[in-house]
Amino acid sequence: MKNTGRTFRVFIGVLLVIIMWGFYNWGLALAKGHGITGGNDFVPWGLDIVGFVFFVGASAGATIIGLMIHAFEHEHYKPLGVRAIVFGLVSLMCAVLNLIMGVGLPLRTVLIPWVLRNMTSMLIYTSSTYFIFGGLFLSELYFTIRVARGSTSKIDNRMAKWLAIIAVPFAVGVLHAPHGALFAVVKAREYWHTPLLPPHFAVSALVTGTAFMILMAILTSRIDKRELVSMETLDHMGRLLSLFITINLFFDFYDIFVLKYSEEPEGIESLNLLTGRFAPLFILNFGGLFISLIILLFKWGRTPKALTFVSCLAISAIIAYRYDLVVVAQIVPLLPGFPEIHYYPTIPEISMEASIVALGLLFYTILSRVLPMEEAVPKSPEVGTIKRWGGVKIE
Amino acid sequence: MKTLDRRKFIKLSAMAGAGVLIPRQIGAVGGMLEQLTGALKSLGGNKDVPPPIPGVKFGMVIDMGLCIGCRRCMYACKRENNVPDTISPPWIIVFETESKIGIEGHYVTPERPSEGTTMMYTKLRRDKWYMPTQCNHCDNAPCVKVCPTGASYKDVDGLVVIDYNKCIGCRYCMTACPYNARRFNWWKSEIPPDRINPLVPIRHHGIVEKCTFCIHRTRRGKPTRCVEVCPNRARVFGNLNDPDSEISKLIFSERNFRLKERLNTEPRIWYLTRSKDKPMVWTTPLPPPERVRGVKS
Repeated sequence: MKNTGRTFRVFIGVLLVIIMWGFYNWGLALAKGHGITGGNDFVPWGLDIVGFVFFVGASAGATIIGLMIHAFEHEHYKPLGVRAIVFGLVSLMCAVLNLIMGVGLPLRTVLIPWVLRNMTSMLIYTSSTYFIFGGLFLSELYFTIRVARGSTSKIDNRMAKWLAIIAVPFAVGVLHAPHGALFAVVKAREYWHTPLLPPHFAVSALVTGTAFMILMAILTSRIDKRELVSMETLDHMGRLLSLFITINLFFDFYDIFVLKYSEEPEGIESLNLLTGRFAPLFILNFGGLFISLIILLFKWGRTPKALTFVSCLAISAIIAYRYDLVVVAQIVPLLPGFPEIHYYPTIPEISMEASIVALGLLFYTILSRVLPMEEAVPKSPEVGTIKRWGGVKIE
Repeated sequence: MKTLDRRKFIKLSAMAGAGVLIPRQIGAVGGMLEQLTGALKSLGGNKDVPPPIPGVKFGMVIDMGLCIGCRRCMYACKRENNVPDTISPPWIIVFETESKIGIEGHYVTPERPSEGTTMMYTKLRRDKWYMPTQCNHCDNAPCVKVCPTGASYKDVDGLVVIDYNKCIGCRYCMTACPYNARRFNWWKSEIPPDRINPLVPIRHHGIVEKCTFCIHRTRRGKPTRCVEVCPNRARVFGNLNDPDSEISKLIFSERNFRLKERLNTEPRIWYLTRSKDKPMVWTTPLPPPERVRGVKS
């Protein structure tokens, strides 16, 4: 196994410690009760659901790379092809883990949807899609790896192509948009109950996925001290990200506009919370996306350093949006006369979330070392002739 | 630089993973297996509750004009249904509110709450209104619709029931309920053995519960415990299918409303506001039995 130096071993060690810490607390939650989390009867959904929707979004968004390679024939994206599939699979695993760690009796979830099912529930629909999406991702991974290993079989190439193309509408329309519907169908909560939520979820998934792919390309290049993709590819990804951020901001704006304009008491209460107690996250959501968009409009904004900053900012903005969406809607009292409702994630809850992230990182690291991660790329005229940015000097 | 071959790396990772998983959770896994078999056993139907009475459709009327806010219903419900102290607020919540004229001729409505509505009151006052809330056993219950496992279901007698053997504790129903009527067992239930009602199952931590309209009593022909203990007879429980029942007559009262009617949930609890001017008559509530509450089977 390559690169198992001291830094790598320390990194794996830290991940294992975080995983152990989180799983220890999960064990406590199973033995004593989920009261060790910050949840309560007014805010039953907390960090677990925030993580759940975030990772489903990241998983769905990662399919954009396959689409670029196979549908739009952007061959220069190929070095990211297998990585994007592996990232998508790992994100999906993290999403499902969030759900499993969050529910009170996790072992019973294995009976869903085979034995226990209620077909009117959005949750039964979304949980069924994980099996299909997981299967689709695995098949895509199988054929893409065969192609990466140099298979010239027509079936392998066609399957890799069509599975990648199918994955995008499936991920956005069948997998992630229904997660928006999971919230949108809840008529009890004014902030959730909007038909805009499913498309909003789909777009924020694309923002998350693209931002993660940019980060992955840059970080892998930095770690491996080589250029994984060309400057042109990074520039193109930056442009894509700016498009998705623009659409996402459009949805963000109209969400708030409708709440303000309709003046429904619960909507106004949500807005007061967003601009009051939750103002830092609200600013991070709007401000983060807006600043990212402004930076991306400039040519210098699509250079590796700026893109690293922008991707981190966009991902943070989407996390803030997910948190606000899940928590604020529940903090609005459903009946007058309830005391002021609060929700603060506890240390054990944060440790459980951290362990899921660490487990995802560990799995990605292992898979990236076990699987052939790169397809052969046809030499682009830009690579090696224009700018070198990956720490490699021009000879 | 030292190198680690792939097999060794995977072996080490697997050992580390097992080390994390095994010690803490071995006990919990035993309990979880029981829950799994319980779920499989309950596929034929909910074994924890008596069967519904044919031809009966239950409902409740709460006369806010008669409710004096004493919270007897809340405490009696808690003891009757083995609700642990860790569940807070309990299944029934009583709100204190102002007596101002609201919309549609009602003095107060939940859609237009008056200032000063609270559940944290400490004194009972004649110039205030009191409104107890609990599960409304809606005909078009959002909680039933969203439950992924079918643990929450609407039975033929109008009760919204939770099959505790099927609930996975995802809490989707709690977010979907517009009345905040559902409670999650955040902690392991600890009720002293001498205070346990043997007719009501103790709920495992990690599952959701709520008012059952005292299913263990009402399906055996008894009123709910909250109705039984109300000192001013503010609550009426009965069969809506019987046109001669008191409840059937009361629901046609001019001044009645249901909570959040615009959501089309069709609640089975009606609120009256007509009797505020009636003289207060304290009736003697039935004393709670010393050891076992509920119905002797």
